[in-house]
Order: sequence, then structure tokens, then C-alpha cells
Amino acid sequence: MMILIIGAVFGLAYAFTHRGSDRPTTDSWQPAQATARLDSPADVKWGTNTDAALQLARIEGRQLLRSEAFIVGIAMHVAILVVFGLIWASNSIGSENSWRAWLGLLPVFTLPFAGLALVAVNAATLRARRDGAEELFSSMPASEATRAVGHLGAMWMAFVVQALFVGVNVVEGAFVRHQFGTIDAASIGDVAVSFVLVACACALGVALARWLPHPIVAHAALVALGIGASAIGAIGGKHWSLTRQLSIWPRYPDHDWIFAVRPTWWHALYLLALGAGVAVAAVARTRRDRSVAVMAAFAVVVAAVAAVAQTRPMTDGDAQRIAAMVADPQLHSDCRINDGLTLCAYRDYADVVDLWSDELTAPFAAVAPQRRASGFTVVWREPSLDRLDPAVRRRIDIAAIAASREADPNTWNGVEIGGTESDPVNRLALGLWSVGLPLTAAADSPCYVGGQARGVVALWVAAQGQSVKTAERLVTGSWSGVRHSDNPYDLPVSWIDGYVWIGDRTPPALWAPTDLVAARTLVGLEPAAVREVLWADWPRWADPATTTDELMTALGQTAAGPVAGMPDGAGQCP
Amino acid sequence: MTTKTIARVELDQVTKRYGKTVAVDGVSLSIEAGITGLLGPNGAGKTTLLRILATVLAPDSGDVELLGRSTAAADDRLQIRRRLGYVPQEPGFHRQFSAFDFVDYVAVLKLITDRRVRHDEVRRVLDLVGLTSVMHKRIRQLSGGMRRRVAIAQALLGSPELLVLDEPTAGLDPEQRLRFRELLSTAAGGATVVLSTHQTEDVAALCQRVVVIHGGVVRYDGTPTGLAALAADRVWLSEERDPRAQLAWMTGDGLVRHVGEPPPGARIDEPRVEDGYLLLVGASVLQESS
Repeated sequence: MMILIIGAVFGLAYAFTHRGSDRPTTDSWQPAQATARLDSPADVKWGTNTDAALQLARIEGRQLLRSEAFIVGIAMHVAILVVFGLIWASNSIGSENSWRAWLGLLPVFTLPFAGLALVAVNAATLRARRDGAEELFSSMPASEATRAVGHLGAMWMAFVVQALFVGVNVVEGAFVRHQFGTIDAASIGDVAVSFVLVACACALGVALARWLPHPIVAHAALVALGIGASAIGAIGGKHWSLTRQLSIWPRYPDHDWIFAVRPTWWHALYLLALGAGVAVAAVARTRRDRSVAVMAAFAVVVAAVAAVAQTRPMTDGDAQRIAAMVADPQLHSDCRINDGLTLCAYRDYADVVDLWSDELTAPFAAVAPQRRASGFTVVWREPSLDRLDPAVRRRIDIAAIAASREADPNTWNGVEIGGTESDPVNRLALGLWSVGLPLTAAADSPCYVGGQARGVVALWVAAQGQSVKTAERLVTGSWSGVRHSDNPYDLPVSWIDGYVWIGDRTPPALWAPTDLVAARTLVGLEPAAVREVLWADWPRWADPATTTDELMTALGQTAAGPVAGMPDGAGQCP
Repeated sequence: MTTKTIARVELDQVTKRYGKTVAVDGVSLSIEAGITGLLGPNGAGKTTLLRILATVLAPDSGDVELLGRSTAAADDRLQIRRRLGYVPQEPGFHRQFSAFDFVDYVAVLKLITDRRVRHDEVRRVLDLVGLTSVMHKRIRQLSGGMRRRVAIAQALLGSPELLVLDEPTAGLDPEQRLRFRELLSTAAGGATVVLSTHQTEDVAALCQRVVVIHGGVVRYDGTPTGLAALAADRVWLSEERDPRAQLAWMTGDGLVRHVGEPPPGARIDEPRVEDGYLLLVGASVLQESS
């Protein structure tokens, strides 16, 4: 399908760039107008090669808009904006919705456009050779090197496109995806890297055309670059390796980048120097003088310095700071405490607290006071501790941190963020906590609460503060449970019935289908009436021994009926 | 065209080889202002010679001085190129460009970098070759003749003092060729025009001087009238084809026109440039084969 779409875009681009009839127009030589002067106006002044290079850059930049490859590159940018910025924007809000993560994707998002810009600039540089105009052009005062610089200068058009892309990206991030957190210097560095990648691609396109003047070379170079960049950029597998920085596509670790020191500015400088070196090589094909040699040497030196700088291990100070943040998140967070509900997010992500507060205040208020008294805390905790930088890992006790987290049943890791109707992960966690059910699956295996009143109460609590329709949807598990076709993670069928989706991990608990029917009945009742019954004897409804039928009877509702057997792979909930 | 300093071309023992083939063999020429035609059969070395004059090729030996400057020095070459207009034998066009954009591109390469002035200049030369109404059409939409005129237009940019034209009338229809003659004869002014062509009528009609080159060697250097005069008393008309003639063909009025030694009592005809050329080149071929 993707190949078909790209083919269609190429076809449209070809039709656009070749629009207009090929039929020759009338061939008569119309006499010159009476006002035509035979000699040049006196004010024709000869410029310099530098002036010519600037003018050529202007012309070549505009000509890029007539290139099929360049147009397809723009289409790729648009596709990325639509898919990632609009279509997938509303599904969920997760840690990937930080500005750090969003802007950090810019270099990767830019790679398709950069690759196609390389092809387009390469084709433009080969144009004179392809069209047989080299002989004419070589009789001109503007040198070949000047023409090469003109082609290099065409990258201004790629910059314009990239600037528009970045601009729309930021607007989408702010108003559609609701990115949170601060935009730090490293994120600005990511933006710079995206522009530098475009510049490097254009420079490489020109250099290849000058040294290896065949159109296939650009395509071959793209494949080679893709393979090389992927290989170097993924060195170390899931563990971070500094060597990855040498790739044009260093894949940063999976953990949140608040726990990383990303030398994006050094990386930008490194790529810039490489690009400058390639550009100098393009010019050096026909011009090898002192200034070219000096520029080449300068580019090599800067690239080497930046390569060393970006692959340095993080400083002790940074490692200590990050280790402290991982080990004790609350100490480094902005927290909001309200009647036993504590919401904490790292200071850079403080606006997440508002999101959580809006989401959890109503469910928390639906919990009986005696249970609320034990307090429920949502705190941002990094789950991928083993992927942290080795310098950080050396300073923390991963096993101890994991153990302390498990030992605290009143704290929920808010790293999933949640906060949307389609992603009620925090609500469900609070519901599970309210009746003493586990918040995470033990040993990656869910437990079964089929036929137990507490499971139904947990769902009712989670749904508070929502409209009836949304609440019914939540307790139906329509995202993944009952309607299998909606299951985004294609979980085993045996887990589907009675499963309410909770993040993209193994669900901590499974319900029987009859419990979900009961829960839907509860969310349809007057909340105050349900609350009155539940609050009257909360420990009873949180007791595993109390059945769903008992709850329904206490509320004056029809019994839920026979309970389905425990699904394969699940154990009884504690 | 305003009168400028007398432009000239000085070639001194210029030789150019491609492998073992000698394309130009010790050519020495001195060309003053005016239109000089370069005649010769295919492979004679005309295009190589014109490429040397256009500074596209460097000679293997000998000296080339154009407009008072040597082509061997880079700085001088730059000065020459500013004052040079060149139409290659097969000018390549950027077919996706419009005529205006292409000539504008060439104007930039000619270092006419002030945009407003350059655009005025581009419009001027396109007007001179009668392409004003189609100047914004893409070149691939233009006929072969129009493309040739685009090539001529770019050569006129900046009113060059030296115009090197390699078969500029190839592909032009008779009307366009006449227009071209009109343009060139007027535009030449004080400039030096070196024109390679297979059209001897063009030479006769336009050139003050003609150089015949064959086998890389100059076989004739003089006026068109002088070239025609080489065939004086060697062109005759008869009712029947004479097998002794070097060349004979039936004319429109039913007579056979012969070139070569006339038989006694033959009816002598007025010689033309092509007759002189044929005799000259034919003699060279015979010399070479013997």
C-alpha cells in the first residue's frame, strides 16, 4: 500500500512538473519590436562569481519546486504532519507527548524529505550534463565552481520547506497534540539538527553529481546511507551507546529524555561540519586553491572536535543529578496535594499535574473517606531503569528502587500520562487502588476478579466524573476488550472477554463479562445513590468474598448471573 | 551595436589532437572585425577550432589570442568570456525551463548579476530573435527552429565583441534564415563574428571573409568572391551529363551544371561560392587519396 501511495505521489508530481502541451508553437520569426535595441543597455555591469553564485542559488532553489523528487519529499512531510500530528494525535496522551519527545522526532521525521532533496539537488546539478549544456556553460565567465556553489545555495528552498514543516509541527504540538513540558536547549538542538540534515543532504547531492555524475549514484548513496546510519545509530541495542551519536540518525534511549544528556548541539555541529566538508569536496572537483584547502581542513577539524565532544560520557554532576531524580522522583517534582490525592510530576513537566487533577479529582472523591485517608499518589517514575545511561545506572540501585515501588500499593506511576477519554489508565489505576486490587500485573500475568463486587466498584470509581456514555464505554473496555476489532494490541482472545484495557501493558486484572454488565448498570444509576450504599460499608465491597450479585442486590438491581470461569493464564487476585 | 574597439582573433600554429587524430593541425589565422565564415566538410576540424575560439577547449600547442588576450591565462580567459557569445553546434537546453528562464540562467553565467538589468537584457535578446510572445513557454514546447533562436539569443547577451557560431542556421526554415542574416549583419557592427556553416549561401550573403578548413588544415582564406573565383571557367552547363566532371547535377531549368575542367566549347557559367568550395575540397580529397 505504501509503495502504491508513493508511486501515486510520484505520478502526480511528474504530471505537475510536466504539465502543458508538448506540441510546438507556431514557428514564425516575429520581427523585433520597433523599440528593441540592438546593443545592450549601457548599464549592463559585470558582476563577480560570488554575485553569480547568489543569483544561481535563487534560480536553482526555485527550480527545485519543479523537481518530482522534491515534490514527493514535500508530500512526505505533509504525510508525516497528517499521520503523526493529526490522525494519531487524539488516540492518547503519553510520555511521548512531551515537547522533548516531539521535537526529538524532528530529525527522524526530516529524513525522508532530506533524502528526496538529495535526489532533487543531485538531478539539478546533473542537469547541464544531462541536457548537453555543459559545452555552452563552460564558455561562460562563471566558473564550474561557481555553478557548484549555486547548486549548493539552492538548499535555501529546502530550508523554507523545512521551516514550514517545523512551524506546522510546533502548531500541531501546541494545539492538537497538547504537548506538555518545557522546550529545553537540547530540543532546540533537535530542531537545528533537522535543518542541518537538510543542508547535508543537499551538499551530498551536489558532491555526488560532481564526482560521480550518474543519477543512479544518488539513489545508491541513499540506500548505503540508510543502512550505515541505521547500523551505527543502533549500536548497543536497547542500551544507550555514545557511538550512536556518530550516525546521522542516532536512536536515543527509550526512557524519557529528562533522564538523558543529549548533546544535540554538538551533534548539529558535527553534522554541519560533515556537510560543510562535503560541500567543499563538491567545489574542489574543479577548484583546488588555498581557500578551498583551508575550508576543508577547518571542516575536518570541527567535525573531529564535535565527534569527540558528542561522544563524551556525561559528567559526574549530570549523572548524579539524574540518579537523584530517578531514585527519589517526588523530591524533584512539583506536587499538588488535595484531600489525600497527591499528584507529582518532574518540574519540567509540571503542566501534567493539571491534566491529572482534572482527570482524577472526581473518581477520588467517589472513594469512601476511610479509604481516601490512606492517600493515593500519582508520581512520574521512570520505568525503563535498565536502559538508563551506564553512568546513571552505576549510581542507583535498580533492584531496590523496583522493590520500593512494589512495596508501595498507594502510589501509581503516572508516566503513561493518560488524561483522555480514550486513555483512562489513571482512572482505572485509582479504581483498582480504591478496593485494594493490584495496580500492576504481577509477573506479567493478570489476576481474575470475576464475580467479585470489588471489581465492579473499581470500574464505577474509575468512571466517575464522566458522562454516562463515556463511562459505559470505559467499563465496556471497548478499546480492546469486548470489541475485538478495536483491540490495538491484539491481545490473546482468552483475555478479551472481561478485559478492560489499561495502558499498553499486561492488564493487572480481568473481569467476567457479567461484571462488565453490572458495572454498566452502576454507572447508569444516580452516583449519589450508589455512593451512599458503597460508603455505608466500603470494607465489605472491597472484600474479595463479596460477590457482584450481593452488590447488585444491595443497590436494588437484578443479579449479574453465573460467572464465567477464570481465563487461561490468569490467577486469583489477592 | 555600438562601435567598440576592433576585435580580433589571432591563432598561431594551433594544434589539437584527439588521440592519434589531429583535428586541428597548425592553424594560423588572424581575423579582424566583421563576419568570417568557416566552411569545411564534416570532420574537417571546424567545431574543434570553434571550441578553441570559445575557450571551451585548450589547444595542445600553439597560441590563441582573442580580443587582445591570451586564452592560456585564467584571468585573461575570464575577460574574454565576458565579451564572448557562443552558439555550440548542439546547444543543450534545459527543457523544463522557459525560454526566458534559460536565457536568464545563461545571463547569470555571463555574470550579468543585477536582476533588473539582466531581465531587461534577456527580454531584449529574445525580442531580437522574435521570441517575445513565447518567451515564457517551456523550451520543450518550442520547435527546433525556435530552440535554435533561443541559442542565438543567449549568444547576443551583453552585445559580445566576439561571436562564435557553430552552424547557427541549422534547423531554421528559409524565412528564419533570412531573418537571422538580417540580425547578424546588423548586430555584427564592430564585433568579430566567426560562423561555421554548411550553407554556402549564408557565407556568400553574410561573410566578408571565408576560411575553408579540411583535415584540420586551412585550405583557403579569403573573400567569398575569391572562393567563388577559384571555380572561374570551371563551371559549365550542358544538355547532357559529362562523366569527366568532378560533380554534375540537373538544375531546375533542365540543364546539367558541371563543376570541373570544362570540355572544349562548353558553355561557361557564373561560378558561385559552393563551386569554389567543391573544387577546393574535392581537390583535397583527391590529394589525400592519392
